[in-house]
Amino acid sequence: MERHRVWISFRSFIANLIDRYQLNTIFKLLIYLVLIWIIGSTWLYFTEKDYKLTQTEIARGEVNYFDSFVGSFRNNIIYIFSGFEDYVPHTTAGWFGSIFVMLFGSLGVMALLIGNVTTIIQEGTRRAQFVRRKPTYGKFHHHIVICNWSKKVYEIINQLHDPVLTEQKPIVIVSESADQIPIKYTNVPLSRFKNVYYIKGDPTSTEILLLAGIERAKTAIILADERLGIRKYSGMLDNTSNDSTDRLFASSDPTDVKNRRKLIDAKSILIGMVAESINPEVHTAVELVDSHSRIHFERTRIDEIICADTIASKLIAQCATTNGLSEFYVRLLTATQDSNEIYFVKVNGGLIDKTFRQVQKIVLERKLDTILIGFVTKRKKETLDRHGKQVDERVVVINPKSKENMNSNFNRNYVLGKNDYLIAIAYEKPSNPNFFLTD
Amino acid sequence: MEEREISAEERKIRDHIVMCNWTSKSDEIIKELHSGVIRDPRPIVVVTTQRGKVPESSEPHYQGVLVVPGDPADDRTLIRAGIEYANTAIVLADETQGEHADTKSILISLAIEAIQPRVHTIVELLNSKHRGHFDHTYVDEITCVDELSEKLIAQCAITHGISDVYLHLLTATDDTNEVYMVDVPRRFVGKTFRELEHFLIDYEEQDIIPVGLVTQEVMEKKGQILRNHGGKEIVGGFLTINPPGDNVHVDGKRKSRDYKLQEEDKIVVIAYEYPELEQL
Repeated sequence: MERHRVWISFRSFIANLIDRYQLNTIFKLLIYLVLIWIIGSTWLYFTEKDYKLTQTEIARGEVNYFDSFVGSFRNNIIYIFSGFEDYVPHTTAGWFGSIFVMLFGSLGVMALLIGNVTTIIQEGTRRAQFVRRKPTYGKFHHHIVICNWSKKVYEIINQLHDPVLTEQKPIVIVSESADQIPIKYTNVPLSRFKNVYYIKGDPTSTEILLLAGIERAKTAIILADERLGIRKYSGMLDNTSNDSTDRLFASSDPTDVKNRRKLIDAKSILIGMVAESINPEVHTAVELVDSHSRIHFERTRIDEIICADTIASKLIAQCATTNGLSEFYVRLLTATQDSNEIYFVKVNGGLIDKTFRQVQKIVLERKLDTILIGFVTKRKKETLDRHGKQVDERVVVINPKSKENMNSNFNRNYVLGKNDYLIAIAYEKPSNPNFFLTD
Repeated sequence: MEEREISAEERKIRDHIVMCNWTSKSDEIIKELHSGVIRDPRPIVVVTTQRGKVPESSEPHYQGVLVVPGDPADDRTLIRAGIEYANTAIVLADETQGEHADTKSILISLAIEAIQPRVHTIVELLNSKHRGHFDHTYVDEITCVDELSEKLIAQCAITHGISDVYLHLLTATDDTNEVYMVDVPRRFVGKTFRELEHFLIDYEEQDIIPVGLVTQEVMEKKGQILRNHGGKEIVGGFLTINPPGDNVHVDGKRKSRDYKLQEEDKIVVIAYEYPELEQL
């Protein structure tokens, strides 16, 4: 069972509040205030209680306000908030007491409190413009780590925190290239930044990755560090500037460009390797800018490579052959309530031990708005790995063939097992029991 | 690959693909367009100022690739490339231009349109913010690399391993599938998408999975109906992926699974090669 919620104990919840609103300063000030109040009240009680009012004073209507212990405390509050009013002391020692309270209590601590609250509100407003720094206390589980910051992060957050997804995993961004990550004036609704945190540090370092909780993370996305070698970036980002082309093509000399691309990829693959070595189970997806770097990835344990160049080239070629295809793919890739996506659905319940063709027919009969396009299974790799062990490799079968093929049994009559997945195009991830035949 | 500088026009090349600008993507694109699985590979005419960058290759997929040196934004160069008779034009972003690449691409698209508006133009955009500039052109398809990769990366985080599926569908070879759009087979005119699905599951001659359909609808942009110069509504193809059965998702132009297919519609399918459905 996946646990994706942030596991924060009660103690750290309080720690969070204190940290966020700088409550420790306010607590200190409040304690001072209370102390001053107690000292002042006690002083005034003991100095004023035995005072006998003179005839003229009684005639004027004055009262000894400090003759009872409780009364003394009660009336002292007025000093703090407003001043003497009618509660004038009658002994000289009493006067010292009230001056003490007013100077240190009212003018001193109260003013500080008000000043502090104002600063806190200002700081809060300023902080609200950026992604929050990851607090040291919080432990995340099954979260997503994004290494290297670039413009792409916004769209990724947009998709990953879309309300249509029932699980909203926390996202931790690790990068050394930005002091702050702005969240206003992007196309992403502010609510989607709720569980997003930022660690400023070098993503190739083990310590930083551990800080990000890589050993408990589910996915690690490593983006290309487009600002590599250009300049140390600090300050606000200008969302209108053309970030990616600026960085990738900083010089127009093609050899320069090529070398930079190779360096960017080298760094990305390095981060992937470090992540996998700390946590081999984390699913690493690395963005490559040069398709020739692919060969290096094959020697690592990185799970997925996304090469924008390759995808774009293939898509452009497909569009030239079949006009209008770009819309098809863009729609499939955009995750919203109203559009289709491709999902992997774990084979469950009544679907186990049925053939692919049978499941296709079931989906049709039950009029589920889903189209099955294939399945994913595992098989033993033919070559042994470095240690001489036989490992599994994932096999993705799309549009399984009908005719029996001598070389493989991955056709429409393949019997689905309980570790297999179905590949489906649907409006949302199929989860209702109807789909799994568990009525 | 041809070396002599004879224009495509002189060679009477027709129905070809014009590729403007030679970039790091060009080699991959040519490989895909001339892969073995394509039935009738079209000739490719490359228009570029950097003639020397195009490799002299004797590999099979460089057969039928012609280079016309010159500026792709220049009318005369385009005419020499035979743009008037071309089927498709691909405008690639010129990497050496840095942040002005997109501007150059717009100029090239306008030049193409001025000579031959009917050619199917595909433009590669580097910065998605420039998409709005293409509203004033009739460019048929815009591929924004950044947008694609960010969406794909996000999908990979949600569904691990999904990039394999997309890579598989996008690669044109004998043992991978591609997405095709074909005319509705005569036999299925008047029938529903559901009936088509039923038929194709058991159809063993070809392995085809239907995933959507394209219907002819009045085109709209930002809520406004598009009209041509004569005031008539422009009708274009509207894509519906995975037509829904219930009424929750059916809205506006989106067709339901029980919509009766018409003659001018197309069906979108996944198949290993271009489907031959006419003889059904």
